[in-house]
Amino acid sequence: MQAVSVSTKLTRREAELLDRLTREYGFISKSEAIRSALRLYLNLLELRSKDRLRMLQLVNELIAPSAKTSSVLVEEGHREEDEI
Amino acid sequence: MRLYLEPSMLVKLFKKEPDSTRMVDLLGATDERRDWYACTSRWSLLEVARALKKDGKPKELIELDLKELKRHRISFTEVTRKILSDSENVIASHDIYASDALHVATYSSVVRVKRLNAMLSDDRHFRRLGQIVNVLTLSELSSI
Repeated sequence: MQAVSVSTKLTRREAELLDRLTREYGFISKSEAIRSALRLYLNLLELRSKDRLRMLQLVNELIAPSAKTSSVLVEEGHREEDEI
Repeated sequence: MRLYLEPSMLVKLFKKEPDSTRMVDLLGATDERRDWYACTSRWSLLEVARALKKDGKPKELIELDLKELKRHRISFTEVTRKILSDSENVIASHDIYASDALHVATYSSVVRVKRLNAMLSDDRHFRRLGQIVNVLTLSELSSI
């Protein structure tokens, strides 16, 4: 298998999080942790459109849950624009 | 079914609400079936981004959500001078937010050409414009 190297820059916070999660999940290295994360991400983006949307809906809800409905959020945006 | 999607319906795709699964099914139908068509204004992308920001979503997730929207078979109508001019007329004759006026003007500009059945919306403001816009809610849609 031909391998290609890709480098990336992380913020200090991301680097610290990567260090911690690599240890906690027992990855053999930070590179291995990033490879796994990347493969998982790419697999998610390759799902069928409805499955991908359902997955993304869950990710949105887990990362930043809120009680406000979509209608309320959009209307609040309109009010702000009208006040400007 | 051929629909104009008001932005709050698009935000619904990224939230867990009673009818958000139905919205996912609708977009799935649009992607897979020739008898389904969905369009909105390109301006809707900004409104979706703002709503998600207000909802506390991080930058990376908002970017991913917007990229996801663009991957589907939704047609994004450009904001033209004509549409802006028509929006001014809607604002002058109705008590309506500027963004809502832009959607009414965009809907009116494509309703015949694209043979739209209705604007899909939960927004009560559009209900008051019954003569200009035929509004449908998700619950009023027949089975997807």
